[in-house]
Amino acid sequence: MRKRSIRARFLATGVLAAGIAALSLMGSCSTLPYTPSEKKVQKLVGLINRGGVLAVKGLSSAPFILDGEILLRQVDVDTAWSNLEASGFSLGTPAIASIARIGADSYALFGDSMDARVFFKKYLDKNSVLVTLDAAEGRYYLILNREVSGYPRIQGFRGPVE
Amino acid sequence: MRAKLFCLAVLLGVAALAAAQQKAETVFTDGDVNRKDTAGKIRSLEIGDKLATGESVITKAGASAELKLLAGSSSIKIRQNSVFTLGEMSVGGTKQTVLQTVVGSVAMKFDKMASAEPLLATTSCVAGVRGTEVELYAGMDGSSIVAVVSGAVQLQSGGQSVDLAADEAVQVKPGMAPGPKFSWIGKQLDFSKWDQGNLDDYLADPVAAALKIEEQLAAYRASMNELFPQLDEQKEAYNTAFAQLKALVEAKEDAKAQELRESTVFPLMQAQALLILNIRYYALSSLSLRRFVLGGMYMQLKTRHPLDPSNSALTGFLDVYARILKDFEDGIVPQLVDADI
Repeated sequence: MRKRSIRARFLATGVLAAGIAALSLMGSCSTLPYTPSEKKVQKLVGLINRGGVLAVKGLSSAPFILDGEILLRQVDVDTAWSNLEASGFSLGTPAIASIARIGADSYALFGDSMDARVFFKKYLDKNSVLVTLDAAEGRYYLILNREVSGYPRIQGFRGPVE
Repeated sequence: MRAKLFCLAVLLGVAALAAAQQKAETVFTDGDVNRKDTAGKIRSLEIGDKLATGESVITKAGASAELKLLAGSSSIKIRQNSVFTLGEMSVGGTKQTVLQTVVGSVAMKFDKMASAEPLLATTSCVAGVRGTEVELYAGMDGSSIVAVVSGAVQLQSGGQSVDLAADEAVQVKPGMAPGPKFSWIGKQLDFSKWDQGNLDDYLADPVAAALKIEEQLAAYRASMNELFPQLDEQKEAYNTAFAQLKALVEAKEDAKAQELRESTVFPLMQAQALLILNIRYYALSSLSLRRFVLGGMYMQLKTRHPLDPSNSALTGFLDVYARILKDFEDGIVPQLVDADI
């Protein structure tokens, strides 16, 4: 009786340990930094080209960096996309040059300023990625993050840079 | 035990200091309203939240917030798409709260019983108030309208001042003296319509608008630079006094040391703190102008001509813009910290 009890305890402990291990694994998977696939980036490019960014609620929210300018008001972020749409702006069909994690010096691509440096340090997180697109007009940089309604969220935009 | 008591005393001191810095309480919010706290973190503003010097309120489209100043019962209504900041500066050796409407539309009603009425500011003017109900509008190009519903306002901009009574208003362009007074019929301005006019004027001549911002920033920088020699003098005087104090303490001249502390060392420390407060005020005002006005101008022009870098309006603006940014990095950034951004 006593032996069975000990065995039962071992079994229970084993099941518990396996459960904890499985939960830990799931936990670590869910905290893996986000990286958008090329397909997702192309889907987003299509949306930008159609002028549809504002139609997806929460896809581009303040704080946002446009070239070297930090936009802290949502109305300014919305106006930027609205103006781009009204101007007929399109990225065309750019080649995806890279999808990379944000590095210590990535801010310099948006401007050699305190604003750009602090924006990258303060308002981006481990899920933020830098996407480099080569288009006919020049190079574009997008800062993307975890998806909203199937599209990578846009935290920053720069370009075209010749 | 003694160490624990010391820690408790320090904690109580810090808590008292933090409480002293709190200036306003949130009594109403509607829609999405954020606060940017003194650590620079942006989070939702909730009813009951207390705001300290250096904090900002940012309202989204369709949102609004109402604050009550903790001293007295003065109220501040912040309308949609606005940025409002609680600042502080020293005037005649006394700290004064500065209620800054950076961009957007804010209505304020001041309790006549309040002991020290605060200063009001936009990015283009500063105003003193006396028992006042006032409306402030800060446009996308740095223009402001100050309209007095009741009481009186003395407004300063571009080195000149104007007195406003009830039912009077004035418009101020950045870096310029106040425009002519006009009658204010008391109803709320259609801010969107007025600011659309500002935007149209800006788009018609973006270079002229950028030059006004450059002028206003130069004025802030000049005011700030005037303070550095004074600060150096104060530091030198403090170092001398501190050396004397150290000598008295080492000689165990306790009574003389205490007298020197109270008569000289502490006042010198306070004078330095007030100078630094004003240097920070001008630096933060410059940052507000650069962030919400110049940054907005850049956004408006760049996103209208995204694939036309040779557009003459854009290239002319960008020349001035690049010059302003360089001056800002050289002259203002050294006075800022990451939390300000």
